Amino acid sequence: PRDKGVSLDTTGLDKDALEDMQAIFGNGEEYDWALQLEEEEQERERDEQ
Amino acid sequence: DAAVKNPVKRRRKKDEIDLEEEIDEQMADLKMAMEKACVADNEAREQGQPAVNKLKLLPKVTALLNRTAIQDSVLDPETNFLQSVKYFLEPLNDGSLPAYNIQRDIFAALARLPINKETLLSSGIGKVILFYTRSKRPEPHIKRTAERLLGEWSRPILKRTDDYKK
Repeated sequence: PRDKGVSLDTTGLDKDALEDMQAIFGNGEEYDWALQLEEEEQERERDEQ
Repeated sequence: DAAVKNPVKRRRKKDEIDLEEEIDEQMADLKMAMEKACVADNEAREQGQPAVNKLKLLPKVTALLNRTAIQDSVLDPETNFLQSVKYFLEPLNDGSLPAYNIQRDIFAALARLPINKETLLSSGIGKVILFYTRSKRPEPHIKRTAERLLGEWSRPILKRTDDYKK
């Protein structure tokens, strides 16, 4: 499982704060493509060893 | 007439406006150069060449970020200089991170800036910071700075909810 980094705990936030959090930090998917590439590269490195 | 009554004051005001305009212009030029450098670096990578365009601009970028006298302009959501800074930190098309020096210098500068909600909303820089906390590629101290920034930037928003509940 992927290290999620610092978890942004949004439980119990009111709607406005939740919207602000999402608008500022995104939904966590913006750079998933790069994390995906990173994982693939690591898998290749593991296979090569 | 006003110039005769108070020539010094009038003069100073004009100088300030000139300076502001000069900074705005300087920042607009740099923003454009930064965006071009990002595109050029991606192209270089695709052709198997070293990506050096952002690195070449880095001293200019950090010089601007670190000039306390123009902090208001740097953080102005309309000028949106931090959006270009975000582009600098973004992973390249092949998923690799920008050069270590870029990460180090920009994270150090960001940690010193009093970044507010409006600047965060317009620049989107929080998204790339979140990415640095999730990626395994950055050096540990860069990751730590990213985590700290994430905490600092989200605190006022989270705190508002606490206040609201009370």
